[in-house]
Amino acid sequence: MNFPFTKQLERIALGVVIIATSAVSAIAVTPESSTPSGNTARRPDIAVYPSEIKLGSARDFQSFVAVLRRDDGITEDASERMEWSIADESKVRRDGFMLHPVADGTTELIGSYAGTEVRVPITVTDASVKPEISFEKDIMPVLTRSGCNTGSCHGAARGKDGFRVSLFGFDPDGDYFRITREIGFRRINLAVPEESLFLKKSIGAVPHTGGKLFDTDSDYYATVLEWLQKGAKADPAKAKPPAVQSLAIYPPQAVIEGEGTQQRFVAVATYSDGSTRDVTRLAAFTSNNAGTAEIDSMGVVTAGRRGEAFVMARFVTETVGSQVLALPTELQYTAPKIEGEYIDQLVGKKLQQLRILPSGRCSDEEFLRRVTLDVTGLLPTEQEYQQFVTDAAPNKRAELIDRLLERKEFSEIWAMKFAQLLMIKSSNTVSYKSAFLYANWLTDKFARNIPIDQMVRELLTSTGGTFTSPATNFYEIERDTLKTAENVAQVFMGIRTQCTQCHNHPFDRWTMNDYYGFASFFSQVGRKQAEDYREKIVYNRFSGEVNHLVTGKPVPPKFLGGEEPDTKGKDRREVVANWLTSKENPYFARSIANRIWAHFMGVGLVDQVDDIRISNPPSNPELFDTLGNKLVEYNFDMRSLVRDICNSEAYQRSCQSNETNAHDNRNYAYAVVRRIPAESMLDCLCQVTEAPEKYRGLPLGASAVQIADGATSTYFLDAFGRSPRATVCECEATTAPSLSQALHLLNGSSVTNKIEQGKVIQKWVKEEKLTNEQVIERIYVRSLARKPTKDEHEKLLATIPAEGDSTAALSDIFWAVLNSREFAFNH
Amino acid sequence: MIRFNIAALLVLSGCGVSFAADEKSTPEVKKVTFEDDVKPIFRQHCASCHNQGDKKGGLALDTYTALIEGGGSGEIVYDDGDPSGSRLWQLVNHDDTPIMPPNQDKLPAEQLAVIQAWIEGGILENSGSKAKAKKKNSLAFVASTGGKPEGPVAMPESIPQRVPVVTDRAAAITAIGASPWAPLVAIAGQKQISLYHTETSELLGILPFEEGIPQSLRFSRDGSFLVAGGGEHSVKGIAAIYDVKTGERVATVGDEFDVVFDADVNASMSRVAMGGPQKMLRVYDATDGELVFDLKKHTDWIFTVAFSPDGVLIASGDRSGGLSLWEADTGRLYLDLTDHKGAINSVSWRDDSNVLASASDDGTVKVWDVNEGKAIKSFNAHGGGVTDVAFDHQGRLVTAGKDNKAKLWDANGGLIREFQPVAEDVLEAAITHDGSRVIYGDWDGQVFSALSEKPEDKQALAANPPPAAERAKVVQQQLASIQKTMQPIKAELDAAMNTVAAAQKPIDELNAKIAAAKAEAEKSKAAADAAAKKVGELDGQMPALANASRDKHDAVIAVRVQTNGDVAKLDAVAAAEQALIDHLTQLVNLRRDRIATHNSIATHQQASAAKTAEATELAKGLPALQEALAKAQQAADAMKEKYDGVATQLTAVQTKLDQLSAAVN
Repeated sequence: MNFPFTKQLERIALGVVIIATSAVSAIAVTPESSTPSGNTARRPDIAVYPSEIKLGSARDFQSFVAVLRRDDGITEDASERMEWSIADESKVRRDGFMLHPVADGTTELIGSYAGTEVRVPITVTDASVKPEISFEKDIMPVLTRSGCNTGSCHGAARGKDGFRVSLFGFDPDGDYFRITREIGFRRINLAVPEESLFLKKSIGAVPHTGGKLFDTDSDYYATVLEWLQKGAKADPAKAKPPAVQSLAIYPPQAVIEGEGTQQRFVAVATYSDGSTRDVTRLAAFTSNNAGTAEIDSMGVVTAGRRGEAFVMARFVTETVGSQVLALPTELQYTAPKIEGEYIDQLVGKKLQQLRILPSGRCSDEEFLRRVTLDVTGLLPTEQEYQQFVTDAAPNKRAELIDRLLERKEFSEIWAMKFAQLLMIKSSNTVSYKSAFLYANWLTDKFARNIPIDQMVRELLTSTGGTFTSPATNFYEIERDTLKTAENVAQVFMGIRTQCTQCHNHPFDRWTMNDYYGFASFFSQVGRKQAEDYREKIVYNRFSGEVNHLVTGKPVPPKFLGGEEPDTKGKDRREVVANWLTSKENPYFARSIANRIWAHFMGVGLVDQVDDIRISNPPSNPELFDTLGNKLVEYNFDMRSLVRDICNSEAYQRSCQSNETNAHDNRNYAYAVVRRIPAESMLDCLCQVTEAPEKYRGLPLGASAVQIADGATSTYFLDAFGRSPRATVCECEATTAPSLSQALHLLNGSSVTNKIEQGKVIQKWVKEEKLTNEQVIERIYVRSLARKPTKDEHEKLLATIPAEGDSTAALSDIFWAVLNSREFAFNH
Repeated sequence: MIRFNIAALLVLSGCGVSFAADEKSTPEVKKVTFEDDVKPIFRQHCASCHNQGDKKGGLALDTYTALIEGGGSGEIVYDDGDPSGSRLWQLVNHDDTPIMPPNQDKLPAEQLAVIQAWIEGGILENSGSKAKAKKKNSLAFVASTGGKPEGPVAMPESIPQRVPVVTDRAAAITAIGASPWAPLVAIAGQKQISLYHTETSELLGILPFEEGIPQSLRFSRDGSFLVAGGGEHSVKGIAAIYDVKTGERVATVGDEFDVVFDADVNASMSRVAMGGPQKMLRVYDATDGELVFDLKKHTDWIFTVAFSPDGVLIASGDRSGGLSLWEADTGRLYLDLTDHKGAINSVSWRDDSNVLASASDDGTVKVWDVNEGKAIKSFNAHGGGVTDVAFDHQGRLVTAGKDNKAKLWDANGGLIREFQPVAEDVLEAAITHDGSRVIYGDWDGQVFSALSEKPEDKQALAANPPPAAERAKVVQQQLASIQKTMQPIKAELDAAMNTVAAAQKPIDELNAKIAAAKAEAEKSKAAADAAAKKVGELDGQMPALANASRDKHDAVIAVRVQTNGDVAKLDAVAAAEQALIDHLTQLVNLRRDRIATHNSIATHQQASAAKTAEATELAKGLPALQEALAKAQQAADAMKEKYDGVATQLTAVQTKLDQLSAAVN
């Protein structure tokens, strides 16, 4: 199987590796002594990009950029300070940092600086051939570059001011028609091309809502004008221009020192015929963090405040990015030693690149509460607390993790998480019985520790009645073919393909062909009524196709970013399920691993976890890949991966940030404080107050996590952001604060009633005859997994009346603790 | 058609044994009725949505009354026996969208045939119903006589020849307008309007349009003015009115912030209506340019605007398929015509102002009865969209479309002729005043003028005419060649004139002779008359003289008696006798003169008769000579005519050359 996407990720990863290694070596040297001028003995480390230049026509040109990497890992744009020459000037002409062809042949670009000489081979072919302007290859990029076809302009579904083109140019043929023929008498004027409205609007010569986009002396203008002068011809159907196969942006990484320092980037596209093209003036540049690295339309990055950014170039359907780190000048930094397993190695490397110091280890108490909450969704009991705190074994944390992973609550939490993603919920079309059986099927899979790939295969290929074979409910809850395909991509690969239903993905590589090709796998799902009116039978029809929105023709099944398999006579779902869960699949394992990682670390390597795309790169690509590979290595056994994560230093860090890491929240330098999810929160409340809840279909005392049917809920759960299971988005379950949450805890029935119902205080005071101090301590331990501080003790005791019954006052203290932020958060 | 119905019925009833095979038997045609034949079909395919309960789209098909009532968008079938005007038929026959039943194949052909037969039979309810007498055509066309001006129709006489913008090629054709009464067509170009003679394809001149590109060209009702709407895209839009004879711009109306896509003037030339991307239909007073109405209703760019020929209504169509009729005098909305699914590219009124045709991107031309506000015809004219439509005076339609063709249709939407396809979308089409030629222009900028009867006979008309200097060269060559052809004609003419002169000469001579003879005869006759007169005079004198002689004689006798021998008195006697002698001598002379004169009369008369006879004899030779002369004269006249023809041509060309030369400088 072929996975081009893997290459992309590897490329990103590669850049990181390079910098990582050099950064390590540079640690010992202080910045002052490492400037190139101060160290004449060593030749500067200079790279020129692109490393090979091909000029394929009289129109072709290529810009280049030189990057100097200092010993301390800082990179500088060295284009200006280099001496440039061409080995054979009869072949190539240099104009600044731009090369133009003169005659066919090969030569070299030579750059030298301070004893370093870099040679870049240049191949010139067809130097005298001036190809005709192609609509698809030359005009479309100008439209995209100028922003004509963005969603806020003419790319909008209804166009703008009466003119519509396809969003980001997914339909070049349609765009050609609309520009030239749709209103044949308005947009272009072939008699006087300069008078074409199409051109006059773009140069602002006539009123244009979109303003002036380029000048008459720009090459964009020249290109469009020439095309019009030649009769605004379409690309001949038999000789369509080659498609863009890949895009590269150079340099692959930049570590820029000092605010306002600049680095020029160069974008090069490679076409299917092997030719290359400088698209720096045609690509659209964006930065995912403009405050740290702002990139202008010509590819020049200006560093801003300290941090990390990803600058991206988009050209046609390709998007690529480079990592840019902005560091302040005169930074004092001594890298700590990196220890631990692969997770800590990779997190540590990244922190070194960023010159960030991690926070220290959390206390045993913090760890106990954190890991118990994360793994089981419950709080540690007083007994567990005492046992763990008093345990003197050096590996007591690892042992605790092992113990917790054996508990059934672990599988219940993950069953619930997937139930949310699979939208298990009774509705008009799905009976409660179906939903219940479906949820039980899922919980059973997790409880029996069935590897997740196996579960997904079973789910996707399910056939039979929705009662007898509950996994078939996957095709009953969402019956739309396109949505089913979208859901599979989002849930199991973390890829959102929704955009590509109507246009090519604006920020990723997915095209409409990919979308309909993938949807085609689910086009043959048949459904029929079973004997019981509530039950449906899902089967494979072996017929049925999905039609492309633009062409209106059926699209053969095609793996997302992969090949078109032979599905003749096969259940297409089986074909796609096998592909999806295969060990080579680049999306599945990584996506699942990232979801697991995000659950424990508070934020995914790719955030949102179900929005993995080129333009939303992982904060630590290498770790992202490694986690996926590890999951494959563990044969998709989640527990093994969870064990690795929980045992890592990264997980066990304190939630207190320090001066160097406070600005960063994506690189795991300190623990992320998270509110406890709604179900677990209610379970914890029940646990500490010993006042159980009753849910539909479950016995008294069952946990909220076990609720099978998404339609079953309580006010508490809704207020605290329980997933309504309406879509497959991870974001359905929220932990965002709201006023109703605060008011519900303060005034609502949950906390007060539960304290009264559970009668924990009464038991302690009346039966066990505990002192006020002991009661307060037990409240603290069972709610917050720590003992009260001396200060807290004193202040709380002061609120208890000296004479008479102290239960009321102690209940109030219990209430106050349960209303504290410390209780509601996992820290 | 009737036979088809029978066949359809037979398929339906399944008893087609020898019933229809025997043509002579003229069988009693079984009525196709709703209750017996159509309702079962509707029940099977339609009624699950269109029943009294669900009434999807407000339409129920399960009872006859509900069916006749129609749905949310009005009546769906009429008793005029015309399926093509029935919405029901259009949808079930998949002529229009949404196709019915939705997302399914057409009904089986035999069931469709039943529905068709039912509509053609007058949508009978049951076997007791009677069909209304079928009208031939609900709106039979009455050729209009109005509009044509008395006297000669305006043709360009002294219009500009300068080309404001010269281009190597033409842009997509934006407008073509044909004069309603003269062989004249106007074609829009870059800041210019080219006027061509449709019969000769001669470029008559170029009207400058400084504001940009005309997007519409419409002649006034009498053909004496040309209205051009247009301007510069996104900048300015106006309507300009030109005098066709002089090419002078007589008015400029409007001031849009974007181009004007269409503009029209009413019959009395008092109002100008226009529309464009600003979505407002604006009506101006043509005389003072004041805005009269600013009509906001269209939700998208207005593509077409047209006054009805009688000036009562204005039709306007937009890019979203909105088509409205307005009362021209009040600016009030009169009707919305809502069936089109795509942009309305063009509308055209029939001469009688009762019928409007609209061309749309949905590929159809719809013909509307504006009194009822319903489409009486809808036909798929061009796949991909219809870009233009125009009525001619006979009620025929010419259309242009994105299938690269122009087509000519009869009043019922029957295709008469397809014109030769071009390589690109045909954007504009017009038909000449007599319907003999269709002029169409395409996206590539080509314009052709083709004979309606013989489409392959076509000439190209340039929307980007060459500059005056270049054209002057051509005309100069033309002039030279005319002059060259003129030389032999001139020689021949001279020769013929000589022949005439030669034939004249003997006639003249003969005539002279005759005249001389006649003169002599006259002279003799005059002499005879004079002699006769003299005789008369002498005869008059004679008695007096005779009396006097007697008196004298008596006096002699008396004297002699008195004397009686008296010698003294002899003198007196002698004197008396002398007087008598003198007197008698005078008398003798007189008498002799009379005799001589009297004798000369006869001589003279004889001479006169002889001369007259001679003249008569001579005159006999004249006719032959005159005939020869007439022949020569005839030949000469013919030659002269030929010469004059060429000379006129020469003058015309010379004038043109002068105009062009003036335009060059």
